[in-house]
Amino acid sequence: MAQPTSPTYNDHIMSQTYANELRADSGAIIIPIVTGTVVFLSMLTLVLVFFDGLANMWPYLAIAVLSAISGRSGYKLTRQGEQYWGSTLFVVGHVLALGLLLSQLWQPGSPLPYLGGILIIITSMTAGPRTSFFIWGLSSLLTIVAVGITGQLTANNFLGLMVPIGVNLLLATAALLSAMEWQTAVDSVSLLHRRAQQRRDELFLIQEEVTLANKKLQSLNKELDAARQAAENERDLRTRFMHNVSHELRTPLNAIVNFAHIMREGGCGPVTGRQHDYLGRIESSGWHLLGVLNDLLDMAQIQSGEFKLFLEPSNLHAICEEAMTSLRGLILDKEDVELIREYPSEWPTVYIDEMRIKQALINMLGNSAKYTEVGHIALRVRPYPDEVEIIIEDTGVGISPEYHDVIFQEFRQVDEKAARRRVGTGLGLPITRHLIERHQGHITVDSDVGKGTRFIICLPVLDNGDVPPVEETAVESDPNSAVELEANAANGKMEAVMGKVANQMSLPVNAL
Amino acid sequence: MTASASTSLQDAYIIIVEDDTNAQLVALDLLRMSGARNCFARKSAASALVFAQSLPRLDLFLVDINMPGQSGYDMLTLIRQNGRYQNSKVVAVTAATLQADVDKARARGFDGFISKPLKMGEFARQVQDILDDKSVWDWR
Repeated sequence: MAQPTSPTYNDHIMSQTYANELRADSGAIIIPIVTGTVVFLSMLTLVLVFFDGLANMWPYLAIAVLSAISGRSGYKLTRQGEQYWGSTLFVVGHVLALGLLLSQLWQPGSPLPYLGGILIIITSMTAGPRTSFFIWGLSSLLTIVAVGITGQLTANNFLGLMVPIGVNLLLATAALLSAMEWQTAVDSVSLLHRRAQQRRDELFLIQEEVTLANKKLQSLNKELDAARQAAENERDLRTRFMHNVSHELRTPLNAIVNFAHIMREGGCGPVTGRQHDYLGRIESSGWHLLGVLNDLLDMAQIQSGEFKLFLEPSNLHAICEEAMTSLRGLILDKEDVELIREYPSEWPTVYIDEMRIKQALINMLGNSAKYTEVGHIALRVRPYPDEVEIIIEDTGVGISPEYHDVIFQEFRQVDEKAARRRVGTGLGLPITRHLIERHQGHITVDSDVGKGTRFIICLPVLDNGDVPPVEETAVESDPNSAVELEANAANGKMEAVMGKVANQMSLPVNAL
Repeated sequence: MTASASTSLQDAYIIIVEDDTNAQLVALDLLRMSGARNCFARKSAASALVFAQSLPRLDLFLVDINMPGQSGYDMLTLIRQNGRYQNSKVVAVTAATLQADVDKARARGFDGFISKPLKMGEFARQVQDILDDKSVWDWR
């Protein structure tokens, strides 16, 4: 891309062209008018001289012929693009004609030598200001010669001629000066013109770059579409696989746990105490297996972004009671563990997914049951104006503060020995945290080794008229929106570039 | 045809539509142990609908979703088209318990959703709740 420059060779050429065009135009108008006038006047003079008696007719005839020939040839050359030589020829012809006229008519004090001034101005306009000095010299010389021919070249008259000659010199000088001024103006105009053209070229280049970038962006978008399609297909496959695994595990589990239960309850005749015990173990093992399966499915859905909530105004009391009922089943063999409930007198309305919050509470209480051998497990519910606090408190083994973050991460169990001793997926807490956070709530832990554990769940409380704070659809990252954002950013950059260029030119972009 | 809103589990006419024999036996036994007297099981939608014609009324269809031939959704459509069953409840009982399955069952107009494995303690209560016009959406 060329840099904007001070006047250069190109600028000079350009202003020369302008000057030449202007001179040619001037010549094409001036030459015929002057020629016509001169020929007409000399013919008129001829006629008058003819009536005077035919004496001294030839100079006027010569003037007419000189004017006609130089005018016609000059005009022709001008039209053919040789306006300098055309106008020089025309002017020289008329200077000669003027000399002839002076040789016939000059008297002391005659204004006729001033006519040379007209020719000097015409020269300046049609052939250039420098040539007008040559014409001045020629006409001055011829004037003196013509005066000499009339036989009146005295010292006095010679001095008198210096007045028109001097005036003519002044005219030539004035023409040169104004032409120089004019040249400067033309130069700066042509410089501006060139700069405008350069900017326009730059703008075109930028436009091409923008078009290219847009094309690249489009192809990138296509690639992203394909990638997204592939990812979606893969997700569909995974979902279908999960679906099948779930279905195929649940069908036999249904038979195992329920036949064991039916037998244990005497549905197929009486059972002994030991049989009763073992059937119970089959049943609870089956339910444990179902819990593991559910945790794995939940985590898979959370990770693939397909996890959804069904929010509705809910009775937290009933949910807490159901969770406590299920806890009671878990600590049947732990006589030294006391259950404590601390409920408020008035329950707030919460906008939640009942199943999921119940699942979260059962997870937490189940954890407490797992790790508490002596003492108590407490469920405390404390409503505040904007939120409700649910505290799950136990006197179990406790968790060292260094693990307080780790326990909420997937696939971790704090005590490796305990993990081996007590079966579990390690997904309960991460799933619970996700469930609570999807309800716009949060869960924190307060615990240390040997000091028991307090999990504190905060859920937002809503007035009946409130709009639900969380969307009911799965939180899915939409790759499309990211692409659109990028595309917009790129367009923004391009607009900024265009705007910058336009500012440099002081022109609006869309004016181009 | 009497309204089923106040029908007790004992008196309710219940039909289980289930192609898996184990699941049939489990559901039947659990309901009968809880006192249900008029509950029956059939292996396909077509035979269940033919059999249902012979009953004085039908309060509850417990329909498996994944069945060879006509699916639970097909059966739901057939039941809803039949004026005789306009007060009958239709509940999906299925081992397909992903979010999408529950969403679909809701959208298609099932009166409830009970997941397998059936929870022996809760199953009878869930059935009674549905008979009492309460909605049951248990997909765990």
